[in-house]
Amino acid sequence: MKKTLLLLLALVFITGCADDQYAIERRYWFLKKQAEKILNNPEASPPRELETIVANHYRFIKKYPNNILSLRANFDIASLYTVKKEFEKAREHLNAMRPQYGTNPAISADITTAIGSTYEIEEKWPQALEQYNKVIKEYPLTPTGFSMPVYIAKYYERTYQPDRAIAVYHQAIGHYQGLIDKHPGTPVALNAGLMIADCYGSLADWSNAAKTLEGILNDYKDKVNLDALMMNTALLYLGQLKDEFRAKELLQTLIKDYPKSRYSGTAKAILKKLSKPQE
Amino acid sequence: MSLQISSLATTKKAFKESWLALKNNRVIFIPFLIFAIVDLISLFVLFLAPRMPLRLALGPIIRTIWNETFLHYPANFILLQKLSFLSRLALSVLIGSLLTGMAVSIIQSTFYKRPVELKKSFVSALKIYFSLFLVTLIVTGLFYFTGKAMSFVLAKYFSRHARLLFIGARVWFGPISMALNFLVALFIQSCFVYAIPVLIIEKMKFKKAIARSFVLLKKLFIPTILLIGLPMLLYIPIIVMEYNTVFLIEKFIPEIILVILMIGIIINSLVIDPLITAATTLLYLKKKEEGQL
Repeated sequence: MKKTLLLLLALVFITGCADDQYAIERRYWFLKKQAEKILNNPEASPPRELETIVANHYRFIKKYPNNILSLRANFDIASLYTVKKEFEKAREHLNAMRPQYGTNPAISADITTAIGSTYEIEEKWPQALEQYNKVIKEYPLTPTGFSMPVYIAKYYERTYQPDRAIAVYHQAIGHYQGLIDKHPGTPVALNAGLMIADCYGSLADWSNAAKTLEGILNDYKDKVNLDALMMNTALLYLGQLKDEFRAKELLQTLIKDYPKSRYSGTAKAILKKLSKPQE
Repeated sequence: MSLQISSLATTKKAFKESWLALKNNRVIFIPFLIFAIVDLISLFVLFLAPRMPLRLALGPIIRTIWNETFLHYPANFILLQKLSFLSRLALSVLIGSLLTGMAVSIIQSTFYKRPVELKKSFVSALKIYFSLFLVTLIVTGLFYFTGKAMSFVLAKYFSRHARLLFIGARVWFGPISMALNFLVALFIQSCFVYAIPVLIIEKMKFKKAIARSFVLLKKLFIPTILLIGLPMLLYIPIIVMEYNTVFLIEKFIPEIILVILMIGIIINSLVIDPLITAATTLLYLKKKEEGQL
């Protein structure tokens, strides 16, 4: 019994003191909590607090330079400077990240986007747009680069510039069509198709949105799971295009092709409702 | 009215006697202390599961059944509560059954003013381990599956409806579920609470002991419910805190969950369980002596 207890205590001691990934996550969690104090209420925090918290972040990055959480800590520093309106420092820090992460396109895209965001928050839209366009051009296949054209359009929607938003949505459609032509039959083309449908949806051009979705359903049949897309397309026909016939066809195909899908129950319920005579 | 008064008097007397028995015979605590230590060790092992070297053994299990997320800080504390609950259920069936039998045997010795022999009490419980195991398995299984069934029914209902009896899902899954679980646990435990004393004291067979426990509950319904329910109320603050894990992690530090679970083990194993076991066993012995059974 005594030996077992001693062994257990030793185990607790060894694991508790180990500087493993879990210990690093724990340190980062406390760091994040410190940062949240400023991020949640930037006006109320004194400048000294920012310096201390940033210094703690740097210490963490220096200690675990190759850990994924150091990357997050780096972005946290930029966020801290940004919320405190120290935009130049934020951009300086983000640019300083490039030597270490420059070889990774996804991280590079995030760094450039973050620089763009600092300009956007500073209300310097032309400079922000320049950075965002750089992301689209240089890192088009990264997650951030892929969604960037829609982000720009949404910015114009948000700032009540409908003409510009419409123009950017059309540009985005062209951009995604270019990606489809360049990478036919690949996941890139599939996602680009979905983005085109999304753009048409934002433009309230429902017939083109449906046409794009039908194209995807046709091109990717038997290649990927399309149950969710079938359901969305059926709902589009039902809600926006008032085409009950095509909606029913799609729902019936969904039930037939994907009987175990989590959407098949909903599809059956909609079909049942549609088969009832209208009051 | 007079029945109620006599029931309350019986309950009060049983609590007083069990309190005195526990106070004057600390040896009764030994089986419960052993269980608390085992439960705490198991909690520590589960707490260390995301870390090396335990991660090698427990990591794949957690990853397969739940998610990789729960092997990282602070999400591991959200799962820790569930893991600790499941481990306690398993330990109750495997070890708790035997130790409760041992405790009943010790209480019987103190009641008849016989010298307490821990080894003898342990052996007498070990001899009928299979029956003790089965009784605890039934109680634990019923409690676990009733809880699961209740959650399933509620989830099924709220997948189609927004409200039940004018109350939203959040309240049903929160305080109402908590209260229902409490009542279910109280009822199930009341049904089987005399089975272990009957097995140890009367040396009856398993099925007869269960039947006798039901009969005794019918005869001593109010005192039994009160003898079990009142100590169980002590655990409510822990349940409330356990239901607010995410809030507590965000408000304080994640390690608070470990502290709450440790306090929960101590309250459960060293206060509630000894009180319930002593009170119901002494009530049984008293009634037996008075020839009222």
